[in-house]
Order: sequence, then C-alpha cells, then structure tokens
Amino acid sequence: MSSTREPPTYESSVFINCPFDTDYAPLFRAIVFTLEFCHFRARCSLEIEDSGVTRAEKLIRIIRNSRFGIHDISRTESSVDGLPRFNMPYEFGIFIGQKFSGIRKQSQKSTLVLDREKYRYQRYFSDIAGQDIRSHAGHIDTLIRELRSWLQGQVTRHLPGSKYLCKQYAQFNLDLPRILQLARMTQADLENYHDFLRLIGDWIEGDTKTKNH
Amino acid sequence: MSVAKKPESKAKSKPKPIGGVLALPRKHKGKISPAVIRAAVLQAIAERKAKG
Repeated sequence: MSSTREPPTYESSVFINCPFDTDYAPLFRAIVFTLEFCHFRARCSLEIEDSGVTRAEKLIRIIRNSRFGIHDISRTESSVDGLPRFNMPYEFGIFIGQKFSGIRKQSQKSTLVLDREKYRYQRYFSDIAGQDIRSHAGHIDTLIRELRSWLQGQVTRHLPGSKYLCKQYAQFNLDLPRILQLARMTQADLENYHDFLRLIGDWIEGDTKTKNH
Repeated sequence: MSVAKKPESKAKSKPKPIGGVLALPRKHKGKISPAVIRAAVLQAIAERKAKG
C-alpha cells in the first residue's frame, strides 16, 4: 500500500519559519502535524540539503511556491556565542518581499506571526505591525488552537476542531515510541525532515483509515 | 467501415521527457526506507486498536 498524500501545491503549501533546535522541536512537530492533519503541506528550509547558492535558490523557490507562511519569532535572541540569529528575519523578509512583488498570485500570500507574548514584538520588531500576530506562550495546545483558528480563516472548507487536533497529536506522541522501535529508529532520526514528514503523513492516513473501517 | 482500435502505445506509460530530461519518479530523500516507516506506523496503530 503506497501513500496517497497529494504533492504540495501553491494553495496547500505553508512555509514554516521557526528555530530548528531541540528546545523548539515539540512546537515545530505540533505545527507540522496540525498542518498535515488539516490537509495543508508543511514546507520549510529543512527540505533543502545543499549548501551555498543552490540552497538560497531552493529556499526562495519554496517560499514563492507557498501561499501561507508561519513565522515564529518567540525565540528572537542571541545565540550562545552572543551573535543574533539572522535566518528567520531573512526568510520572513523574503516571504513579505514576495507578497508585495507586484505578482498577483504572490499578493495572495497570508502570514501568521507567532510569539510568546502578544505585544512583545513591539520592543524589537515593530515593522511587522499589521500582520496577524498571535501568542502561544510556549504551550503546544495553545499553539495548535491558534494555528487552527488562523488556518480556518484562510479556507472555506471546515477544519477539525482544535480539541480534536490536540487529542490526535497526543495520540500520535503516544504511538511514536512503538513506531520508532518497530522501524528501528531513534528520536534523533526524526531530525531528518523527510522521514519525519513521511511518518506523520503515514500515521494520519493509517489512523484515519482504521477509524473508518 | 469500422476502424480497428489502435493498440495502446507502450511509450504512453513511459515518463515523458521534459526539456530533454526524463522525469523520473521523486526519490525519497530520507534516511529510512518509506516502506519501513509505513509498515511500522501501521503495525503500531493496529496494535493499539487491538488493545482497545
């Protein structure tokens, strides 16, 4: 049985711009799960394996091919060596730049900005005023609720409720250790975005199918 | 006069060339085989449902 997940289109692609580290991983995984469960396609720079010019081009291509963008600025801070992280503001700038590029299709782009507190951005990123900015306070359930609420505002089809999404995500996390054991994988293997995305897609499809039977 | 149906061309099932390059099926870029992941996911779900 092969996966029936549809390939990403402009309308279904959601570009995720967030920190890719261990601390943020639970929130990142919740975002990917919610998007995929709601039949969107989660896109991010982790899809790219090349470095240098090819990487920059591929990143711009992913952003150009994504109608929606989620930018989590909750971890805007200096790194351990005192240097600021520039990748996220860079990707956010590309996304907004594409939106106002004058190309009709790109002007349909829609953005969700996530932060820890609702008005914290005003102290360090005031130029983003006017965007849809929501806070998750670092809580997964709040993140899923805010994300689902924003997504529902973007499409006419009905999306699953946030309580149901939270319940499904919790079930996925309960199943995960056994899945990893059966596949002879470890949590570290989930750092490979392609494997992680496939695992989530297969779980959603498998769980839904067995529910319907 | 009836026209005999033309047999399906074998070329139809082959990948179509795009810009001179064959469009090959997308390769899984992960480290683990997709079949292994899928089998593990389905078995874990089945075990849970069996437990009730």
